[in-house]
Amino acid sequence: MSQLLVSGILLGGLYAMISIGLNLIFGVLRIVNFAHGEFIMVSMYLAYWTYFYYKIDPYISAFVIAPLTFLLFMTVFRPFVVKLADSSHLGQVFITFGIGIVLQNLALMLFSADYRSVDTAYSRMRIALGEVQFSLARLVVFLLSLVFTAALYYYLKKSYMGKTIRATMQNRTVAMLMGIDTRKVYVFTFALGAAITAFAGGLLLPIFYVYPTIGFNFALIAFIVVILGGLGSIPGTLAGGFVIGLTEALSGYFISASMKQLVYFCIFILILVLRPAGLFGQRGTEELGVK
Amino acid sequence: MTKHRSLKHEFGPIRIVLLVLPALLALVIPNAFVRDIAILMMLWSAAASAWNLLGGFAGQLSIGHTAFFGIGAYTSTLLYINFSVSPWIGMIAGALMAALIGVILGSITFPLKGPFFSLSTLAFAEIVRIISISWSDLTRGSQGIVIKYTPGFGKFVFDSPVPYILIAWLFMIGVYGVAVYFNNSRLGFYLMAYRESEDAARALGINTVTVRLKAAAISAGLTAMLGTFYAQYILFIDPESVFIVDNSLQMVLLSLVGGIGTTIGPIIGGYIMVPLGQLLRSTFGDAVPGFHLVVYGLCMVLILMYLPGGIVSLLNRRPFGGIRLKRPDRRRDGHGSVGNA
Amino acid sequence: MVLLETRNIEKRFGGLQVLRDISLEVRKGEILGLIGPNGAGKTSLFNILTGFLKPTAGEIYYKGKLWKEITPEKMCASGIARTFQVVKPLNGLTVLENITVGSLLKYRNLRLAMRKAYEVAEYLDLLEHKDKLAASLPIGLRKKLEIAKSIATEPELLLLDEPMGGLNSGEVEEMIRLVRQFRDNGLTIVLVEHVMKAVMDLSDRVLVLNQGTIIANGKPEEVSRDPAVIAAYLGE
Repeated sequence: MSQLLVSGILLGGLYAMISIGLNLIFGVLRIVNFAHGEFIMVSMYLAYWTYFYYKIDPYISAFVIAPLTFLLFMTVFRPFVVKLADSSHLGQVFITFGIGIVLQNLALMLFSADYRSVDTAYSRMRIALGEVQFSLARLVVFLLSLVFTAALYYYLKKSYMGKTIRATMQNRTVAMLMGIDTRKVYVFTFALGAAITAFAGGLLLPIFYVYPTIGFNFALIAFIVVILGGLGSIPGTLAGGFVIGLTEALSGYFISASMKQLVYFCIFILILVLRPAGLFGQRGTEELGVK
Repeated sequence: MTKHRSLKHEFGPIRIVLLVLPALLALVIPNAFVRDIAILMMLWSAAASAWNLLGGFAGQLSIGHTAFFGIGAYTSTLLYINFSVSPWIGMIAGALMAALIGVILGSITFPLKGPFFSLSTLAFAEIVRIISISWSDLTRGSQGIVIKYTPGFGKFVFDSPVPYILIAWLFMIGVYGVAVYFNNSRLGFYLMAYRESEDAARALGINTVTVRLKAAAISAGLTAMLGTFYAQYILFIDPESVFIVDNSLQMVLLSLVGGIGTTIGPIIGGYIMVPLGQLLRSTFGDAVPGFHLVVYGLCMVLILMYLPGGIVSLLNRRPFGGIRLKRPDRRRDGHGSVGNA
Repeated sequence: MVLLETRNIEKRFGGLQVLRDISLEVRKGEILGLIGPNGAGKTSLFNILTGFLKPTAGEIYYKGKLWKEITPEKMCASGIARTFQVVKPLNGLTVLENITVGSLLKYRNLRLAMRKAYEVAEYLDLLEHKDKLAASLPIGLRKKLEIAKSIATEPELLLLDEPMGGLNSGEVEEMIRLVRQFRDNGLTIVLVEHVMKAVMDLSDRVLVLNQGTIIANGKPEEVSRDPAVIAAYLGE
């Protein structure tokens, strides 16, 4: 039993890690990013190939890929982000979905559908505490998820940029009137979200196989975690991650993978209908930035 | 009568040509590939038009419509396999079933705004898909159902492509007709009013819930009928063909590309995207797996980014109806319409 | 005859009491002005009167009957129409189509509804713009369109939420003329407005709201001299 709990919590941290970026992009900016899963997939492939060719550990490449992603989105991809932010929600859905399809199939074309994984010094390492066993890699992700959650939380709360982001999210027009360059804020936040997601991808490589369509499942979980935890609430994402992680660990024995998806979708609809603000979201704020 | 919504315009010479074209081509050109594309084109144009009734006119952007498509396909097929009910009757049954489910789903999800509504429709469609796979006692699960090839009008199976061409065409014209009706009726005006401003609509006496539920029922029912047609044309259905999200997205994409909220938009979208997709798949499909989808995806992204009003907006300097894909500048009451105390 | 009546209306938002003990009457055929400094609760009261907000306590009577389960659409169907302070035109539709949405309430046939809309457009001098998209209109015309939509529903009671806001003096004069014309044609009007000239010119009676309660109720001349009212506006 305690094994299940520990697995669940570690998994929860993992799920939170892949969702933090989406929380910034969808939760804070309200940009529906259907390519979120593909961001993870691309980052995983990048980490994979750098390991394959240069023997660079994925954890190290994660620390390189993330800032690179950030820079990319702040510079080269900037006009794209601006255009995305200016589009209606349906437009966003389809533009990002289209990007997702392109990325998925590029990966398919270039790397084939084969499942690939890395085998680093520690990727098979397991730790035992009493009767409980878990993998080191998952522990690392879990710990980092806590770190990132705390860091991001304080950043948004205390730093000037953080407050600027929150102001823009609450009322774009007023933020503009207060002299905030909302475009910059959107691009910055998006880039930050993308970078964190890319970082998560690197962390995931020692744990999961990578293949072109791996993104969908991650994206699904990320959306549920973000909405369950509360859009825009960083601690909420962590909490949401734990709930889903524990649920999955505890029910893993009893139900099949597809039924698990079914349950996720049902939870999803239930949250949306009953408490769209999520666990930690502020009631009423779920509609901010929406139509 | 306003100029662009009149029957004279909706059935004007250019429109007539456009509407008749695929059927004409399919009948005249004896190539099986061309005929297949024409039929699929008309099928998906009709499906997109049916989606557009709810998505374009009412602004309720569902990305789960494949659920209705599949419900139609499975209802008529299961009735036929198990009870020998003619698929024509099964089609009506499927439509009614879908309409009912559409209304139930709508009443639960309509209060949700924007992306939340869309996401919930997606979740719903996926739930239906997973159920269709797991409840294999009813649906034969992943292995799907084969419909026996026994030609006969009553069985809705034909040995020549001509009846299929005509039926697909009739469906397309039929749904177009419904769209024209929407454009020129109280229901349609009320839906559009809701789409533009829910508060204004309510203040003008419109029961926005009832009106949308009606649209949902009609849209779902028509989509289901097309699912039945699909089943009878392909003679094989399984969850991976009739319940997948790709179908939902196809319906929306066609409407977006052609011009969402317009009557002819979804049809134009179908004329462009279906042959494009089929041609890409047949040219590149096997050689370089995934390439045709890369091109398809890029087309999607480019059109949506640079032509949000769809093709129709190119042809008309003034886009009529339809959802503006650019988000208007937020007014000061960002928190909702009721204003401040 | 009393058309609309409220008794002891209260509205609370969480811990904030926004309206307290509001009892008022709207008499048939009158123009009732509703004024008060910002934050007085005018908009909340307005939204309650039009079904967009539910009172925390109190009752509303329309034509002598108690209203339960008020929704905006039911109110409109019963003859109460309203405009919005921040106008809500149906942007993707033309001016004529906008008005038609209103007239469809009483004229279910589209052709007849459009004909009626045409008449309303003519009445309000909007005919030359009838085929323009609502989104393309300047603010003055949008305000007129807002009223046109409501008038098209053939209401008995029209509630106007700051119809003069954002208009230049010529447009204000025209709006005053229009409102008076409406009343002369049998409409009862409740007017929330900040443009004092308009309120005082038009209203038969004025209600003054301050901090959620009615502090004055009477003819415009009396109210404008009421020390409590002056104090409320100047803020002591």
